[in-house]
Amino acid sequence: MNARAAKAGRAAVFPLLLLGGWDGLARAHALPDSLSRPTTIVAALVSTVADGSLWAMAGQTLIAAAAGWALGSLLAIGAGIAIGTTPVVRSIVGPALELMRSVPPVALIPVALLALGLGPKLEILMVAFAVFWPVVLFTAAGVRSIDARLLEVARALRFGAAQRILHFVLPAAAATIAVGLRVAAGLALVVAVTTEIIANPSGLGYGIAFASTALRPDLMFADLFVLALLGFGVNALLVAAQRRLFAWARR
Amino acid sequence: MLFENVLDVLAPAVLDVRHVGMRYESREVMRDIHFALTAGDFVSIVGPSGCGKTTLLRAMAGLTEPTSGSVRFKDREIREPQSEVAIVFQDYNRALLPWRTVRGNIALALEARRIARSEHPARIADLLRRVGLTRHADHYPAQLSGGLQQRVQIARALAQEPQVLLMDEPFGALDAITRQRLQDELLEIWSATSTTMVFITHDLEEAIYLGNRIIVLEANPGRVAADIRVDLARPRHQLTTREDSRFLAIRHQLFGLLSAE
Repeated sequence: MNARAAKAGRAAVFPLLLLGGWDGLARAHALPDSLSRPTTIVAALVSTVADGSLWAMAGQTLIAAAAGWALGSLLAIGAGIAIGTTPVVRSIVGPALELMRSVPPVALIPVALLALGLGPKLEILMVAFAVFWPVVLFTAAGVRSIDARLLEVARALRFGAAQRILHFVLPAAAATIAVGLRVAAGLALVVAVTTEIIANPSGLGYGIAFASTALRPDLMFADLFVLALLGFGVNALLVAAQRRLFAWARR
Repeated sequence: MLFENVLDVLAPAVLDVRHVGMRYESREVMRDIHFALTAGDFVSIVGPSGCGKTTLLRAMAGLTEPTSGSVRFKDREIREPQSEVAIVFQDYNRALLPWRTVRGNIALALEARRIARSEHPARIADLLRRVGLTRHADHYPAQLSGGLQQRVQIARALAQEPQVLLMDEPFGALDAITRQRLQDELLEIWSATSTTMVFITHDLEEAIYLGNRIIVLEANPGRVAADIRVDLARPRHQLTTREDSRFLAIRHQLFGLLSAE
């Protein structure tokens, strides 16, 4: 326990030094006012937490990102299995997939805006679109990496296609799919916030954009801090889930 | 002749390998392999590398279709895996599901046969006892030694309740002590069931020790070189059986056949 406390203590040294230096420089007017000051940022954080506006914004961003992530991932896992198990599908959609994948998702926001208009639907679909690519690639790679011997065992036991996918292919690919899902979760937050800044007036992205135009850098940094916390928390949650689910792979 | 017919009636062929040949493009792997397995037989198959032992076994399992001839199980021609014919692969570390425990790996065969979930625990407990894995029921394959992993694969094959059990050098990767122990356990399982065993090995002594019949293959292309009866007393014993003069005579015969090429 002491070792853990010591580790946490060491990890806190750098951020505290950074904050202390920032505060000192700001007090000495060595930094532009637009960078605000840690103490005023903390004050902004406290007041927005107190009036509930911060929770509401963080909740909006989190829900939209999670919904888009779930939708995109589900479609991608299905597509990835089809691509990974069927050479015909792979040869037909593979090249098109590579092309589509190289379009930055954010570049499609204006297009989606025309088609869908402002609102949460736009945000969720943008996230789903962005998330689809890494998950489909990781899934297809995971599915293809299954040992040929296991597929032979499935054949020898006379399992049908659905059972083979359920009992052999999916578990064999699960660890690789999980990596894709984690990459996708980070991406989901990025695209959610970007969409909020550009096209959907809600959530932390809108909060940051609003604070910027309202010349409230303290609010802006408070929102950024919460966003960092959110990303950190989501990743920690997924890493913990991964550890639990794939305990068998680490023995 | 009459005597042979009577035997046929008493112990009809379960697996019939009929003039099986196999060709990969211009390479001929097997030519005109022809023999029949009697119910309850323990047949060892030996031969030099390249004689098509594994290909033959895969054809018997329905995993590969021969280019000429056929393999029949009772009245059916085998073109795909049959539920009555189980196979145990040599590479146990690749043939088990690493994400399932020992129990779960055995359950796989029960799931394949659509056996009611309520019956699983009793059946699995029985299989675990038969292969000596009771203490390891909840371990994952990666936590087990090679010998234990191969026992899991054997238990899974037995869970199929097969009439024929095909084994491809199952003990080839194990150390000598573990191998001898598994040989005796396999013989016990065999004598407790009426399963017909087909056992591929490159170890001549193992072939004699286990089988009551040895099919010797020669290579390029793979053909049957000899079909030898092993009339050694059962139960067999690791020391006395291997010291028996008939054991040594067969060993000489096999050695002669396989080094003649």
